Amino acid sequence: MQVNKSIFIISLIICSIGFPFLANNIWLSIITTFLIYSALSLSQDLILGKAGIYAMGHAMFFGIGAYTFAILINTYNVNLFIAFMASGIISYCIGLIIIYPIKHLRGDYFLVVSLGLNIIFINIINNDPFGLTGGPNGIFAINFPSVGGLDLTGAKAIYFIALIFLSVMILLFYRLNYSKFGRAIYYLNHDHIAAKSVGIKPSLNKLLSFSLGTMLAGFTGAIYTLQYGAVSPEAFGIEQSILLFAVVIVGGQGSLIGVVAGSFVMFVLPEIFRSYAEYRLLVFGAAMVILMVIRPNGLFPSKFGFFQKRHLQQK
Amino acid sequence: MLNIFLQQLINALTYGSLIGFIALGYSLVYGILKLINFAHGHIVTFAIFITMSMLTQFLALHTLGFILALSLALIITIGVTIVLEIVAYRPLRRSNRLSLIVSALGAGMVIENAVMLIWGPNPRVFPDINFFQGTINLNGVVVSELNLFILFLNIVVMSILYLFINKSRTGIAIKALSLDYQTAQLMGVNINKIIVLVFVLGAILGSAGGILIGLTYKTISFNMGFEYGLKAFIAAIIGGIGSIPGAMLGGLIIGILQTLSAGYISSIWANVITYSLLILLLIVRPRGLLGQKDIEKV
Amino acid sequence: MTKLLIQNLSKQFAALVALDNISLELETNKIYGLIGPNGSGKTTLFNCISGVYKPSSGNITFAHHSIINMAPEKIAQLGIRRTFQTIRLSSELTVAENIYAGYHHYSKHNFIQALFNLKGYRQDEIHCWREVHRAAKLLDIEPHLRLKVKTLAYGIQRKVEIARAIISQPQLLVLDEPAAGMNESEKIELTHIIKQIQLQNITILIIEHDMHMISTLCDTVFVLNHGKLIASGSPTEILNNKQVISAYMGDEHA
Repeated sequence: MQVNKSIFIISLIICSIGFPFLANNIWLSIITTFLIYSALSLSQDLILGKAGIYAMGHAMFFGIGAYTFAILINTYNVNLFIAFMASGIISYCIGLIIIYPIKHLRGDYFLVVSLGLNIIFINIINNDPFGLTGGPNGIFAINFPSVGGLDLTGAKAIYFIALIFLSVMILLFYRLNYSKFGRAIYYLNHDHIAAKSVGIKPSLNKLLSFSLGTMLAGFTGAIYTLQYGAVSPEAFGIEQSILLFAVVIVGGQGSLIGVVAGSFVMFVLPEIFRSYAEYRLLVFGAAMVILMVIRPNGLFPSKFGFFQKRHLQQK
Repeated sequence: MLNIFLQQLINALTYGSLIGFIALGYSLVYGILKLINFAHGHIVTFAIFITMSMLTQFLALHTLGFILALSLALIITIGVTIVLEIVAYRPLRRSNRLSLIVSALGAGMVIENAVMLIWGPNPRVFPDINFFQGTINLNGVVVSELNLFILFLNIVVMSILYLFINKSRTGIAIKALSLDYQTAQLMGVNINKIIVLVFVLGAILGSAGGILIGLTYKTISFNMGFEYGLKAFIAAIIGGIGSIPGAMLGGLIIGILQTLSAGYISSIWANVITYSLLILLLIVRPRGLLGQKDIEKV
Repeated sequence: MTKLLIQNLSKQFAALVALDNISLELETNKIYGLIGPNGSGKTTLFNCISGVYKPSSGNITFAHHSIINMAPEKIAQLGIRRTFQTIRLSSELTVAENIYAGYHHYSKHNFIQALFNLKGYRQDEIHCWREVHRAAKLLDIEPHLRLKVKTLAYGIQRKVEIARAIISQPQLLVLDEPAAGMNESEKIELTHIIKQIQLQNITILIIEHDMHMISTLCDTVFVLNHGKLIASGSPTEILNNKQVISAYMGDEHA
């Protein structure tokens, strides 16, 4: 069992490193998109699946990261690395500012407020404040400076950036269950009264999981901008937020494999079946209903358990 | 100056009433299932489009044609709602709430895109009807007959609904169900029947709102349901979810905020202002204006 | 020495007065019983002590801290732990993982250590695991440690909840009907276990309907009726108190 798992992981690593040298540009770009959206869905899962906060405005933070990156590079000619860090940090700060006054809202109330915020965000970038966001057309033809003689805008380079970022996130999520923070949000999510009665702080953990989720979405946004060289409002609207929300629930809340599989179904399949674009959402909607009815806990329901075997074997 | 303000206010109340009609559907369903019925806005869109088609079919028959078109459209909409309840909601009633929400979202997407495939992606114009076309001039404030009818209908519908929920046997069963699901079932309330009834009631009110939206604003498009639906749901929440006067009050507040901020501040920032104020209101009063505080049982 | 002091505590829900001017005092290292008919306000009092409800007026002092406006998690960190009338465990987790929740606050590793499975993390995990074992041993549920809670019998789940409450060695343990749903032999075992817990220098306050258990365990018993404290004293005094008998049996028996 253990050996099989290692073989699987090693072959997965070899395949993902070898892939860009074998695939054509169309496939490379599709898979890069898949990597980016997987990372984005995982960041939504931290908030929705793991912490149990009903946030349905995640595309907004993806957008904040993407626009920050685009504006810093296009308007202010900032260094690529600094711009990348700034996308995450600004997303984090805005996430913190937003969650703080609404942290006492529960369930559906939070959901509606986050949807409302997403609409406000889209309206703002459509109105082109201070000439920064370019209105409905967005910002396009962004010229990325090369870093240390390396051109980071080539298809292969972006693929590897996305791959490294997703790998870091997977490691983070895999180890989350074993950490004090991950356990705290699990207990709070499942029974917040019982969790509080054993001394687990609810609001601190809620703030932290939400703002970390928004920070990761911000970084992902920057990578998205790097891939497309352009940003425009429609990629960050409520439709996207709803899809992200659905990915987590359809895949399985808090389940690494589930969320990655979910983003494959929701974001990659439509790229492959582009010629049927007009039926896409109809089929999606039907698939969402059917999947929920057949598997109410998601495609791959999460398994949570954190005491590792070797500790259990000790007396 | 005052005249302009009064004119704006009439427009605001009309818009608010229309939102309120849709909001009632959300509020009723949320009251018993604790579900944001994300498909409701799209059901309303469907009702608008099917009414449009029926009206163009039967308009030649004048009043009789109008009644015929309306009833046929309503019957089809109710049918779609019942199918939706049985297929997408009933199997998930006992599982976790998030899967029910996603199922509702999926059902909404199906209806929205079905409307797009049937009637096309481009905006359409709702047909004119033969009555409510005049206007009344009150000291320089021009009010259309349609506006007056909407406000009148609002009051009538609210009163009937209020009496129905509080006085009739079925209404009391709905109330019992929203307070305590299991006890109501043990007391012999037929849950399935009541839930279907509530969905149908919501669909009828929503369709009424939708048709009036078509008559008032003329231009309709397949994706209008989400925007109206979301506004209506927020109306239901800020009014206090589960409360019938609350849903209408919420609708009117949204109408006033939206119309006045568009008229007096800036039309491109109207949405931003409206949503910001609504969110602020929810932060201050998380249970809404007429909602009741619930105490968590420990 | 006084451990917990409640002065003139009242709690009102809209028109309902759930607690009416309650004053009582708990001393270190004793077992107290709290009895009263259903709806007399026992659980409300527990919820006020553990911070789930904010009292309408009055004061609660615990080990020289006023805990009246403290958040539940702060009160738990000060050393008051409780169980619930209806079991509140994570049913998908194992017994060990549920008991660990009680020790979570004292777990010492940081996120980086957990991320890379560093030495500090591994040591902390072993330490926590030992604590879990110790608590499980006290409750006699060691054999079930690796089983999921949802697979276990009700009586054992009750014990898991108590283990979660005592793992952090609290100063005051508040038990809400710990023997509800247990059979006679389980009750006798539980009585024995609660005595063992007291030996660890823990003050205990119990809500219980089983008078036999109350009289074998408790040093002092408080009686609530309609939100008022109507009697307090040793179990024998209480059992012979006319007011108490009438509260339970109705006036005609008095």
